[in-house]
Amino acid sequence: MTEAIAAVAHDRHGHPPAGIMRWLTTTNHKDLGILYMSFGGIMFFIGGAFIMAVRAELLLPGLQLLSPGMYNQLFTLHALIMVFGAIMPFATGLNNYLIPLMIGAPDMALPRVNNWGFWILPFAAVLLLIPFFLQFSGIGSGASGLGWVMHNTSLDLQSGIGIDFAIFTIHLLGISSLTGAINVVVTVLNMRAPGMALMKMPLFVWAWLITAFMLILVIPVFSAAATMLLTDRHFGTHFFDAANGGDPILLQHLIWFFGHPEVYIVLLPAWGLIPHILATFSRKPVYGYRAQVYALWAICFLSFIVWSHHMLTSGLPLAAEVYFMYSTMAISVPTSVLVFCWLGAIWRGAMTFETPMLFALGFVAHFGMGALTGMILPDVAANAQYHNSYVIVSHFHYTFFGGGIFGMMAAVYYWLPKFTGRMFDEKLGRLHFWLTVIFFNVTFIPQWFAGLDGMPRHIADFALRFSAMNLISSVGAFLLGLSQLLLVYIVVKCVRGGPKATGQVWEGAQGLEFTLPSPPPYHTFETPPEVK
Amino acid sequence: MKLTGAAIHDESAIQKWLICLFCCNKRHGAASIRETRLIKKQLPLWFGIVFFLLVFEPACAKSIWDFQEPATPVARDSITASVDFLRIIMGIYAVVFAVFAYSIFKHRKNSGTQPGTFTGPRTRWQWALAISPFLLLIYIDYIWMGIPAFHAIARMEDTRTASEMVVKVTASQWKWQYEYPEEGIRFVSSLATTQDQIHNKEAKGEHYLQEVDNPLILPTNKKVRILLASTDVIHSWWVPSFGVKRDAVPGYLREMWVNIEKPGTYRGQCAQLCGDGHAFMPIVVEAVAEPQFKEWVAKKKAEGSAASAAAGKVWSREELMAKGDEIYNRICITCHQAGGKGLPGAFPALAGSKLVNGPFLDKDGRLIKDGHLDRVMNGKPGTTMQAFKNTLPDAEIAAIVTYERNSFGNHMGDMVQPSQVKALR
Amino acid sequence: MMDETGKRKQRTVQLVVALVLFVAAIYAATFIKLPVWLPALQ
Repeated sequence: MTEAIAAVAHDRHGHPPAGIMRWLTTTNHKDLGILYMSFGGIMFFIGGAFIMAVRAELLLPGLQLLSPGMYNQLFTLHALIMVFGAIMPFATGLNNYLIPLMIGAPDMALPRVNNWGFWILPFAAVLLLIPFFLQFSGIGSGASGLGWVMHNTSLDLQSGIGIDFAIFTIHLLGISSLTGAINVVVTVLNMRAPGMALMKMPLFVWAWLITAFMLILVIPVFSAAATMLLTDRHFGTHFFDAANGGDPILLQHLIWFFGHPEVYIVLLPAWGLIPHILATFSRKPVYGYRAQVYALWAICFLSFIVWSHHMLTSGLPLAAEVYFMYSTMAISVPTSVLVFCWLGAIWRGAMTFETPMLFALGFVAHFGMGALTGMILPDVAANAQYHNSYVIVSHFHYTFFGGGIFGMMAAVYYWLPKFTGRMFDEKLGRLHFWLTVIFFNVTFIPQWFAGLDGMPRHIADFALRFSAMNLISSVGAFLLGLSQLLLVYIVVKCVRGGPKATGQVWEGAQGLEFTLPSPPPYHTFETPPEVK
Repeated sequence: MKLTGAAIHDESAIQKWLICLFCCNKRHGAASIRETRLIKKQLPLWFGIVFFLLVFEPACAKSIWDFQEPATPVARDSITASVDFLRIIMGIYAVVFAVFAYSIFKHRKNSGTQPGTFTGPRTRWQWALAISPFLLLIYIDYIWMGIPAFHAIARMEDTRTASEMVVKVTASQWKWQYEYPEEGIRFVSSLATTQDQIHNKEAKGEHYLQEVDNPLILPTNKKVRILLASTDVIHSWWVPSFGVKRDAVPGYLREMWVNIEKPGTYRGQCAQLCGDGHAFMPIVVEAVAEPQFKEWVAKKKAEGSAASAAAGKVWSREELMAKGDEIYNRICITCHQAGGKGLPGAFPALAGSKLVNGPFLDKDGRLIKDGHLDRVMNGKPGTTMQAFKNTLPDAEIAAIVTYERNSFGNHMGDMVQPSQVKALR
Repeated sequence: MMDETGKRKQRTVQLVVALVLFVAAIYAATFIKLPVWLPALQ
């Protein structure tokens, strides 16, 4: 699609400082990208460890390992860490590393802000986890146990420092996300190489531009809701406090006005990178480029007007229920445009099945299931039965894990040789893929049926009729967690050595980043490439 | 290799099938092409099986695709909507996945396909093919499933037309209070499963975690309007067999309705995360025929007048202590734990507590603010300690306070009479 | 006369300022509690 003259790296700025100072002070987009991605990877395993404890508690009926309060903290932290600590920072890392390479820019537009945005994250993560660990030495009552959307009025639900720490974390993460988002918008709009028209940009860049736009619109709402919660708790305001004339439903509206676009914020980066991978391994150009760009914008727009389908049992008026049902169903149209384009991308290609392609195809298969189940959930006739049951848990893991995580895994395998200059162990990669596919389904299919049978979410202990499904699900989850350790081994092995990767890495790979050597030099495109 | 039906059961064929699926691009020999052909022959069969399981299996009676047995018109609406829609999406998934799998098997580099260079539909026929799924999708969303859904919601939300009785449900952490305003009956319903069962010290009963001390009794074949309120946080009243789930939101009165068609016991539980006891907040509804319901109402009313008589009489210490022991182990123990030890950091201990071992009335016989009786009657705002004067009768409050002041190593020696509580309400 | 780099810098600054003001405006607007006043959402 594009041909470019690879810019040879000048060592104008000299070499980066050695050791730890390089990583603390770096403003280089590649270094920061790697920092972001490593942070996301570490948090992925911390969040995973938390949910292993939760699944261990749910292995059998009865309370074995955890007190209910501890259980609430663990699934809350799992969700907060996975969404804000793992997937979002990982996607931000990808954009940091790749957007300048893809659009032919020397760096992000605001490199220092970029550094600041990253270094907020570890502190935010520590802040979130401190109350959890303090409780073991008898200080405080633990971390927040409200669920990741704090769906309930927290005033009566839980006292103690946990929620305050979570509120501060949310503010910090918000600042970090906003700096990242503003950086993306400014970079994409101002730093493109000559000839890189908007409608020539790779879809990953488009997807991130739209993601950034959504972040800028909804993160302030989330932060404001968190601020209101803070002032309610400590400064005598009554935004959400029913006993004093506040409105607990307001909190749900604000959180979900943020929360629904947040779902797409998690997914859009993956939707953007999947077409690249499918096209590469089918040895074909991207199918339906324009259609995909418009579909992404359509989804972005729709995501702002459907939020209350998360609150259909909260007693909305009839008119609102009907509106949110029909508007939500509309999302199925642009989403299926994307699925159609993914099928078009592989149709009549000359496919090979390297690990990234396997993950991309796995993404299509599993995300398809998440999208289709998402189509039936807003049907208000049945929604009362799905809402807050394990049906929902199963559904959103098909979108977040089957979509988000599979997409990120595909990205790891696709660009890892580009980042490191070495090929990873293909056999182990495939093993990782098949283990992930099998145990992912073993974990989440039973949850769907437990939900249909009437099992609510967020419960630390369950009635005997749900035993069989929970047992299967827990065993699947342990094996799924275990098989992810293989990823660590593969990545470490690849970083430490392996056969050299070429600049193009994959036979069918297109795009500016593949015109550079692997790994790309520290400074790239200081003279902008020309894009035909 | 012969392409026979028996090949499916041939272990080596399946092995090769898997090898082909996992790493086909490494195999370029003629054997690989033969295997690919074999797979193609088998594909319709495999898809047939999957398609049957996904689409027709839901049609069988009470499959795992169903909700629990429906008992109300709304539940039947919801199960129809769910099963139909599930069949539709499974059908869509089967078709899309078939195309997807066909492409994966057919369009491989090693089968010598020349990659296409197209980037979108080109001919009129292709455009029609590209547009039609979306038209079908819109038809499914807004007509096929959309119109019945609209009617179902309108019916679900119509709580008032022809409603024959009202029940008010008040949620609080972690129990339900049921009130029949017209009959003047009010009682609290909470978990009956023992702590020993929960902590695996004794065998779990059949209805583990789905059993209560006082079930909600409702008449069959009567439209019952249910009003929902909450005293602390948001809860959600859900009985799967009734097809309704509605949040109980503090500060609001929400409503829904049920019309139970068959007598029986229906079980559900709270469906909104409401704190530590969220999993332990079951709902049990016993639906009985109209005459039995009338009998039950008469019995309950008689009990009610006995209770007010109880509030009038003077209780002995032994009576108060026995009653208090019973209620403590039913209600207070969830937070304050056995022996009044509490849970450090979460729930204060009662044993040796300054509050419990302090005075509760001032010299004019008024409640001392933040005294023991005040705390039990009015709760502590901002915590899970609720105002029990809303849910417990005079005698029970008197008994519980007396019991706490003279147990767990507390020796206050005083007692509270139901008449005192009545006067202080 | 500004060169290309200068223009780009200026555009960057303008865009960043606009976006930050936009964020601040949305943050402040949330406190209006719109969902409470919209009858369709009550």
